[in-house]
Amino acid sequence: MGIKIDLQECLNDSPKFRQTLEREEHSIDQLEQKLEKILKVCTSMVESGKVYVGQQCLFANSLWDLSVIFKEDPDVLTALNKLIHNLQEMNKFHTTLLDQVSRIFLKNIPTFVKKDIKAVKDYRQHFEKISTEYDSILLRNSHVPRSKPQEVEEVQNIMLAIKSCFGHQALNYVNSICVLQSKKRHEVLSTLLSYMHACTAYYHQGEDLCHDLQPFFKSLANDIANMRDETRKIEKEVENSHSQVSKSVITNRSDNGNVAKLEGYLFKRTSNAFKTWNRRWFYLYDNKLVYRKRSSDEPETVMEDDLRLCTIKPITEGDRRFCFEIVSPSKSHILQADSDEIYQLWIEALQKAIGAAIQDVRNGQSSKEHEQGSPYLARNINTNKTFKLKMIQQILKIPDNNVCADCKCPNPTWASINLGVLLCIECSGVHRSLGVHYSKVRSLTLDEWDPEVIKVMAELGNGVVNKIYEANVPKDFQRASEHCTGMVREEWIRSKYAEKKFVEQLEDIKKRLGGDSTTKWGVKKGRQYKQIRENQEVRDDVGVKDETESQTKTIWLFDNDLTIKAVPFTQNDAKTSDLENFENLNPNLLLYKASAAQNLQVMCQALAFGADKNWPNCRERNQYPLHAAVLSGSETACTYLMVNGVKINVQDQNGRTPLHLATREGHTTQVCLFLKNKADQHIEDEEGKVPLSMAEQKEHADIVTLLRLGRLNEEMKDTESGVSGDDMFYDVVRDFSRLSYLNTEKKVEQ
Amino acid sequence: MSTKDDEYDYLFKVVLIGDSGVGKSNLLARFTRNEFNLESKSTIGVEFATRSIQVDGKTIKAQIWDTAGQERYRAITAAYYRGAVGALLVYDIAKHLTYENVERWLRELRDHADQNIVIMLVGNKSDLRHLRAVLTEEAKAFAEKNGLSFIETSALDSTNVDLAFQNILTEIYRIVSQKQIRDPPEGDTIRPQNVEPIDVKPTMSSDSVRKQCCQ
Repeated sequence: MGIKIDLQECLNDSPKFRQTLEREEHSIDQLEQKLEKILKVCTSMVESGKVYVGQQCLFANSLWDLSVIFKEDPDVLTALNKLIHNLQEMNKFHTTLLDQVSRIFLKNIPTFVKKDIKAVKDYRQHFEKISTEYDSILLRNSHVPRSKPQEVEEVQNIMLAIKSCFGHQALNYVNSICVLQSKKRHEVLSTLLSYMHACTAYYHQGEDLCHDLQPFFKSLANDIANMRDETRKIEKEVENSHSQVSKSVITNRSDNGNVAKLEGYLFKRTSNAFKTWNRRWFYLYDNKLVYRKRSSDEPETVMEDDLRLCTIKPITEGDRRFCFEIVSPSKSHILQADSDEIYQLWIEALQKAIGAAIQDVRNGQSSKEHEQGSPYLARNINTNKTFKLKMIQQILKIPDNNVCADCKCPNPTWASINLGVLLCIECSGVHRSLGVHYSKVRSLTLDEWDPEVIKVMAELGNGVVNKIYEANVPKDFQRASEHCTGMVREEWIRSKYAEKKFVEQLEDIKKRLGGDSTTKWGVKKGRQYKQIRENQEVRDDVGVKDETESQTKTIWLFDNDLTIKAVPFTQNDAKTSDLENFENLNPNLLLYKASAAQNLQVMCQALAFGADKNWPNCRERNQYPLHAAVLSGSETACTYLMVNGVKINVQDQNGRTPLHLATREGHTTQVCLFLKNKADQHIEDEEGKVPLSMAEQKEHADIVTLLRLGRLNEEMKDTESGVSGDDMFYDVVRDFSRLSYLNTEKKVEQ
Repeated sequence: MSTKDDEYDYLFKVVLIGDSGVGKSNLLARFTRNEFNLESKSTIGVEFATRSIQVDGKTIKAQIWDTAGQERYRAITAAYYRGAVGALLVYDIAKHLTYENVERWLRELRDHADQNIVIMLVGNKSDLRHLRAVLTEEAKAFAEKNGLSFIETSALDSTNVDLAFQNILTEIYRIVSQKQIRDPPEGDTIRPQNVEPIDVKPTMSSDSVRKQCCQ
């Protein structure tokens, strides 16, 4: 609806005109106010919309977080992902809508207000100004006296001019009002229409999206119903299982009813003075009875490490019911079951397990089949045990270790730990008869193996040792074979090890190679050498500097493959021990040098040459081979010498024992080793120092502890009732050696 | 080694724990050798000492383990607490922080020691009266709340040192000797069949035993 202002009225500036004007002005003011209000409300609407969208976005993100929980449930995960994805899609639509709304309202209305309404206001100003001027000129005109015709004319002229101007301005003003009033009609509607369009687009997008999703929703609803059913089923099962509670006895029993694989809780009585009863999870594994705490990261504890040596005794006395005792040669444990049924099951299981363990040995089987015994073992790998198992398996893989070193009968299960060979049971018997100064026999399966002894075995093996001990077998000599007579076997073994008949003598080798004064010799450093020595300062106080070195032409290199290579002289390289003169080449010095080089193969060779194991090297402070092995940092070389019966408490020129040196050098593992082998720690060196005072001075806490523990152990033993003290000592020593072993292993791996 | 206390009826392992510098080693030296060293250095590794005392006409040999309060010896934590039946948890009455750390040591005991281990809270250096930072009553209340026995000692002037060890060893002895009556003996001991075991109800009542456990 347009407004009609009479042009004549306008030009006459009649009261009616003025009235109309006033009315229109009021209407425009109202319009402006309302529009501004709309603008304000719309702005806050858009703002809160944005907040809503933002929250929705967070909502979707939190749903993404939730989906992590279902990452192993692909069904739920796919559905969830799709739902979240669509939610985000909807969110996007919403964002677009808000964008458009803000663009439509916040652009159109302000332009209308700023441009069009402001234009009207400008005209109004001009109009009011000219109206005032017109009024004043009319007033002035009325004042002009007749007597001043000139002035009359002047005023009249001005008045005419202003009147015409007023007319124009009034018309302009009126026009602008008309235009504005007309414009507001479509401006408002078109803005709203755009808004509706935006909304329609929004709903359309939503509709399209939902339409596409219909099939998915349907199938999802089905899935959900299925899942509900599953839950119901589980609920029912759980309910049913409740009824089993009263019946069920044992927590875990493998399906085939194999009682030897029984596991479950038992109370065990602690061995300390309190005799506290603790509930632990027990299971059988690899001929062992082991247990662990319910909640603990600690690996399992071995209660009995060889079931074959155990017997089970029911305990009928005492207050506690369902108790039984598991007795082994060195200790006994009292266990208690929860009920008579469980008690019977355990007794049966343990007795069967003991029987099976003994059977296993008779059949000469390794313990492999027990390895998958308990599910707990896969998770809690007892590093020490697996390490040992792995080592023993490695020993079996060493060249020629698949057959007996002496009679070649397959699958040997015995070993001579000082010779480093594997034997069959018959030959092991002959070895035993030689006496421990020739051969120390152990069973691969029946005996406990210290890790350091396993390492010795791993360095040697049938191949290496036979190369030395069977170097020169006369063609007509009757070798032992799988089915030979006892006589032949005995003769062969005695000649081979006790008489060392087939060893090629060092003197013969010397003649064969033919050295002279320009020849030197050295021992190649052992395989482990570098890795162990890496972090230690290189000691240069041993070794003889030789002024004739420049004349040296060849070096006889004692290699760990047991070849003695004559290599041309180059600069003394790091892989070889200090060089020695040819005339000094004798078994004793060879053993000494090989010990220092940690070369067990050459040590073995030197022993075969008849080296004196307890030979002090007068040129190196009267140190013995064991001292040299200590200084090399290797516990394997030390162990090899000790299993071959070297004296452990020998003193060098300064009165120091190997234990002194191991302490001084801070070799914790070696200290463990010597203490385990009952080294005397009360021997004083020339300065009156015992190893303990040395360690205290060096502030080597671990070694201090070990030595003091050794003393405590001696003290407890003196009192004749210190079985527990002994146990504790070996416990701690084991803790330590395991620790330093793990460290060495780590070092080697790096 | 001395042979004078070769014969004993019971051997109890007792560990000394508490922050560095609270005087554990001096308590040990005072009890086992009647020595005190004002300038003693931090303990290297673990130290061991023994002393026998008489309780009810029985000889009880205490094997006491002492280590530096720092956490350097994690490696043997398990061995340190293994078989221990008593613990002296020592703090310095002149250093409040060492008292605050008592809770931490209790947690360590809970994690590694036997649940029935007898714990005695020991406020050492009671000779430092003018420097006292932990009130006797406060520590006593804490000990009561946690089921620990409590004593203040001075290794320097010998106050209560023997009494502290005497008390904890006696308490352990009471628990152990009562348990022996209740539980079957170890090994092959043959019991006459016709003898009814007499169940001697503990005079201190088993409550006091239960209180020791870490609730």
